[in-house]
Amino acid sequence: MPDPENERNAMEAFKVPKMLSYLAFHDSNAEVKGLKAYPKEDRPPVTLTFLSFRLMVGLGFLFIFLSFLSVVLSRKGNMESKPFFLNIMLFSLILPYIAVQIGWIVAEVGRQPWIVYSLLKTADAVSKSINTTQVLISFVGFTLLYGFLALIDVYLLTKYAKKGPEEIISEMKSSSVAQEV
Amino acid sequence: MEFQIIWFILWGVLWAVYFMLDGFDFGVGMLHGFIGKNEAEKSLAIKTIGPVWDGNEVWLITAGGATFAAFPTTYALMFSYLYSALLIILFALILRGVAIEFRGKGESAVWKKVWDLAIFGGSFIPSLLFGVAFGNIFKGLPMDAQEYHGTLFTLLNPYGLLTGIFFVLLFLVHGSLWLSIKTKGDVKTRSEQLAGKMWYVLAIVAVCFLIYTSFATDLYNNFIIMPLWFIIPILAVTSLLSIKIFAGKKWFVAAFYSSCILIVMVTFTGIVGLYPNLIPSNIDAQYSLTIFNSSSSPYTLKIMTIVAMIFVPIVIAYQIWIYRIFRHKLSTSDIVKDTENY
Repeated sequence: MPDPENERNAMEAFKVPKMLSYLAFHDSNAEVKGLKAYPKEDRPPVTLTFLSFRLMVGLGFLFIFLSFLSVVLSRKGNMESKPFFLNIMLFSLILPYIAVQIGWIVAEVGRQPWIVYSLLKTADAVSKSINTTQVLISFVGFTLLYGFLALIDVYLLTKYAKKGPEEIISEMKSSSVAQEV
Repeated sequence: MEFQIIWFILWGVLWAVYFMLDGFDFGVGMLHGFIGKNEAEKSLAIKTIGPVWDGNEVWLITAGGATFAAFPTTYALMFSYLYSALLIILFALILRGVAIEFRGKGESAVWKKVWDLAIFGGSFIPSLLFGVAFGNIFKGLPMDAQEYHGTLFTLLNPYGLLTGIFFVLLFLVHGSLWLSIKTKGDVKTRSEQLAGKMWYVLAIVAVCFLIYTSFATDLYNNFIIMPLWFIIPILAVTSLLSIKIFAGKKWFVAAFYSSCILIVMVTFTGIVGLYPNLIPSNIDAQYSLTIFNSSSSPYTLKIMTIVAMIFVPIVIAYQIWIYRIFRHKLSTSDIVKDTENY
């Protein structure tokens, strides 16, 4: 857990030496500059970036684990008789969406205060001819529109998932015959 | 030739092709509820644009992308100055896209009604607002070196609105001609009649537009300096007349192609008139965004020219291929046999 006030980590777990050097520069001996090497005003919001990154990577490992588990459990071909595992998989549907969103938080929040890293500050990139009301309206508009579309999507996915493949195919056949008559 | 001029021409081509293609599916989107008297007929009308509307909208993305890459200053200022108008277009296009895909996924009358309304609004609003936006670009925006002195409502001036209505009518005639050549039966008959009637309204508005343009804009100056360019508006007028002649002889394929040429020529009348501006300023010409003061570096433009020369033919080839695959005429009996309906 980071502690931005005192410029240190309040709690540390699972330390892997030299890993970041390798991730950032593909060389385990490369020097990674710490946050303290940058002036305070050039640092991103630490806690949010820190937690989002860990959550995203954690979810990534969870997906690998679940996929591995499903390969093991389906080896005998009796996956259908394991409702507990199937339930876990069903409710894990939402997790990749969460991982994608927090991945964006890592990328966007972690890059601050830059909008184009080391070239253009976000504060300098703000449009002068758009006022906050316009931005607020468009933000609310996008939220409502995408919220509405998400609801429709969930409704349709549930509808078709509940029917199952056989029922949909037979329904299509019967309806086309019925309409033709 | 300088790269800026090449990209200005390409910019015009992308917009012209976009209006020519998305124009007819906007028209169908506005008309399907009126031409289709029952569910099968409405579904049939949407089915004629089903395989192609999204490919048509690719041209909008390329037009926007070309503006961004070739004329970044214009892109940045245009999206800031016209923020609210462009967002309304964006919302409408999003709703229209999902509505076309969703309307066939439910059976209830309310479900169909909601998505039909979204298809209508999502087709009408962009048609009108693209016209309004281009009308205002022809006229020039109230901008100086620092900022834009206008709001969303400044755009809704008489000339902007007339251009908007002109666009809506162009697309309505275009869409009904498309339905005339792509359908059989009652839908075809109704589309043919509607195209014939709406043509008169279009012709009146087109004449008003041509006259009003000489008062409201400087578009004709370039034509007066180089009268050879008058060939473009003359071709526009000729193709407008030939729509009526061909439709009268029941040659609807020829009428549809005339309508394609009409839309391209109308767009190019504006493009030639704008040169060398992309967005003129109506405060003072020194603040206008031209192809020279808002373009990328010659190196960027050169790379983009090479990329465009490779990929634009590929895009054109696969789009022609799609139109060939889906070239058959549709009737309501195709609707019930098919399981993937709109």
